[in-house]
Amino acid sequence: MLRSFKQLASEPDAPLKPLAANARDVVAWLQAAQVKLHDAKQTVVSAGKRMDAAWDAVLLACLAVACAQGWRATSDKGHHAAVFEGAAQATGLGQGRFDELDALRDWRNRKYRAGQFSTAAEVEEAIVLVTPFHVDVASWFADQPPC
Amino acid sequence: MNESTLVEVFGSLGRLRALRALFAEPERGFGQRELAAEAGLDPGGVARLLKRWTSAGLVTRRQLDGLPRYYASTDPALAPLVTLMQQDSALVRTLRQALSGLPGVDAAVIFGSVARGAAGAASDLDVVVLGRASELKLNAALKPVGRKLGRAVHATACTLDSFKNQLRGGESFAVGVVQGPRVPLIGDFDAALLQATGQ
Repeated sequence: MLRSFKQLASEPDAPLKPLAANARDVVAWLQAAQVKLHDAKQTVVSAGKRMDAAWDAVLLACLAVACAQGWRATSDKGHHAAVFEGAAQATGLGQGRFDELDALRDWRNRKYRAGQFSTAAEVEEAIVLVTPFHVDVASWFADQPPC
Repeated sequence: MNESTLVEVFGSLGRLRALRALFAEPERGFGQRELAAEAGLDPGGVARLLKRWTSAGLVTRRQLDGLPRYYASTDPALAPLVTLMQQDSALVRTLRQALSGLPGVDAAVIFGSVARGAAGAASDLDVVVLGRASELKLNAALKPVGRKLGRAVHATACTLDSFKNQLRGGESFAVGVVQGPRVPLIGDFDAALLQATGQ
């Protein structure tokens, strides 16, 4: 069961703080997310950089959702996981799709191990996961009252 | 080895389950009630078993926050019992079931702290998969297993050739997997590697 931003913020040492929703910030996050997804599709850079960009595309979209819901992330440990879970809960992402994108989040931790590298095929898989998430986030925003 | 065979060896299903819980994860301690729930026995029955096993040196008792917790003995002579119990633990069965339904998994083993018997109840579970499975899809598919087991599962997927190259290059990850203890999940990891190296 995915937890809401409010539930996540009530945990001890939660990396989330309340912040009044701001439409300009939301737009900035969403634009940045789109840029990152575009970066992930650039085959002239390394697969590792593209994977980073693919995850950033998810995270930035989630920050937009958090902002619209009145939350901001701190830089404390676990802020990627908390923002992603809260945004997934808010937008009604199913557990299966949450798990797929969460595996992409995990990839960030594995990339620092010696001998681990990404392939172009993995990046393509990541883009296939991230693209519909952006569509879902856009649809969710379309259904929200203006903030 | 199937469970009915092991029940015959260990005398009863409850004894087998209690010993399996203790020895499959030797660093994990159990309270009496916790072990009773794992074994499907009443707490009184478990208390009697733990008293006998402590006297016999199979189990050690430690105080934690004022309450007794029971751990498998770390006597090296009992290491084969750890190996036997790990083969058929709930953790291994759950992982096996999940991996057996996934495409591109030729061989898979648990390595790291769980395989060494040095893991606590919440320690991450490290798995290496040889084959053509996608690492992203594999890890996504193992997320429900992690939730069920109450611990994160991290799977590293490599093709046979890639793993072989890492070994030849002396990369610490592959060398550590091969030289350390492993719990088999799917296929024959060693045979797959030997086949790949053509030895």
